Amino acid sequence: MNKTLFLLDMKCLKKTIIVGSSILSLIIIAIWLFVYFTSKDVSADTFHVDYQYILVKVLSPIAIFMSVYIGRYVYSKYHSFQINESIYTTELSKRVHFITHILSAVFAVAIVNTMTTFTIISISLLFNAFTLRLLLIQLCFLIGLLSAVFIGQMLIVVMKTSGSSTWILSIPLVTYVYNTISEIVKGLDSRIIVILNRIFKYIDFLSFFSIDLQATSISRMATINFFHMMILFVVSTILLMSSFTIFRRKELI
Amino acid sequence: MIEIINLTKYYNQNVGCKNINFKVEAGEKIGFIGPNGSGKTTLIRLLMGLLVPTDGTARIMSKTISDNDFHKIFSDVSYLSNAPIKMNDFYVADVIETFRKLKNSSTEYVDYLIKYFEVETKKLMEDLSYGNIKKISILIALMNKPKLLILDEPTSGLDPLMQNRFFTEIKKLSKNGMTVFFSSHILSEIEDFCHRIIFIREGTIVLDTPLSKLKERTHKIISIRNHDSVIDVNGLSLVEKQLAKEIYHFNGKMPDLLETLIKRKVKDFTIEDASLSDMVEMYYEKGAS
Repeated sequence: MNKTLFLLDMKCLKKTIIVGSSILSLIIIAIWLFVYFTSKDVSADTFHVDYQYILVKVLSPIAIFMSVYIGRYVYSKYHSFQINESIYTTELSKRVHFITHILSAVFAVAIVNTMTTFTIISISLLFNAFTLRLLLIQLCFLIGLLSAVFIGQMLIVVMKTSGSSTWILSIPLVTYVYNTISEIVKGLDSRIIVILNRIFKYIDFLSFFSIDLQATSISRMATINFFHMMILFVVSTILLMSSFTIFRRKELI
Repeated sequence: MIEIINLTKYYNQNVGCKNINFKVEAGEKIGFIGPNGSGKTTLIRLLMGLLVPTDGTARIMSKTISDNDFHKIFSDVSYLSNAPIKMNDFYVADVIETFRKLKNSSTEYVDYLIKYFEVETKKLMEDLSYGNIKKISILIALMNKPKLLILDEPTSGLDPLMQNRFFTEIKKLSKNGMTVFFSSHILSEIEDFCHRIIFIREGTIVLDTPLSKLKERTHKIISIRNHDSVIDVNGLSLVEKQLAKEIYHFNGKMPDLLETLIKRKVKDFTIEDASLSDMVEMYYEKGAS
């Protein structure tokens, strides 16, 4: 990793980190302020279920969009800066470029995740509802976001830098739209719907969180499919690492 | 320093450059000339490893783009792109400092260049004019005192004072053995600075020669004033007739011309080398013969 390049990446990402973590934290605060002022009960037993529900239904579209954006940003940013030619004609190897950009994106997402973790833990402490389950949710949330970052980064790496890469951002949007309409088509037992469900299950980077408010016990209301999560993370990591072979031979302008 | 063997680049079906071959030795100053779209920037980008060749080899300091340690050449090689840096949200000082660290350059020399080119470091990049951004690009290219400097349209947008300073600085660096590969449309600066000219047209090299030999091979320009009679010498052709002045191109033996001028009692005449611009025009329009 190169420290100077990392700091340059972080300067480029500064606004996204500030805006992203502020929006996510403010949403969390606003929801619990609403809960507090409408005198709804906040129970320590169900606090993590409430949070996971908010995470899946409200935060996830924003967080995934932001993560894919962060993953995509650096190569396209350097292209729009017109510094590709200057930055790739320095003594840094392509391996250093590649690793530095991955670490920058990971660090950026980790900051956003830390901010939301800080917010939800503060709120849970205020309501005397803190459980370790919240930390587990946040850790899984981070892994989901990293998968999104890796896929965003892999896609921009395999593409030509000068080409348009905005379409990459349509992945979280399509996922979000499908998630919305999937509730409607849930009852349909069509073969196509079943296949689509399976595809989108792996494109939606937080689909390992599931919520079933009609479940008979609290432990079944909010579940995390760790196997699914690990597959998502491992596959996205392998795809990103494999893209280095393309990056090594890639035309950089 | 540079060795190019059968270098070819296609953009889909379009030729970027084709079968390019030349060598550049250490300390040479090469003027690289060609019309728009002739393949100058493509060739430079291939040299820098920014583009991948369709065929052939570009070797810089004995390394090719396919070598794992190709990036190491950039401790001794600098490249000035013709595209201005657009880091609009950044302060000039931050941009310079970032590149200073990336290029392991000395603070003293960078500070000297900042003062020399009168760079305003406290401004945002977006507040700078094109010429001022160009000065920063030049500063970044020169900051590591390279052994090989590759310049693509370096002076476009610079005012005459800064152009002069730029040439003074690269002349100073080239006295220490720096090799310069200089692509430009401004032929007068190439004529002043370079020893060897490479013409590229439609992606192929049409001429590669020392400037002095090119001057020997091309015509002289003869201007004759206040003389009425027709002068007829082998190799002399009238190109322009003004009120009291006739301009000829001469491509024959000089003693014959001088003898004829004396015989005809021509008193007011000048003999000049054709300018690089005339020579380039010839090659652009007619091609190499």
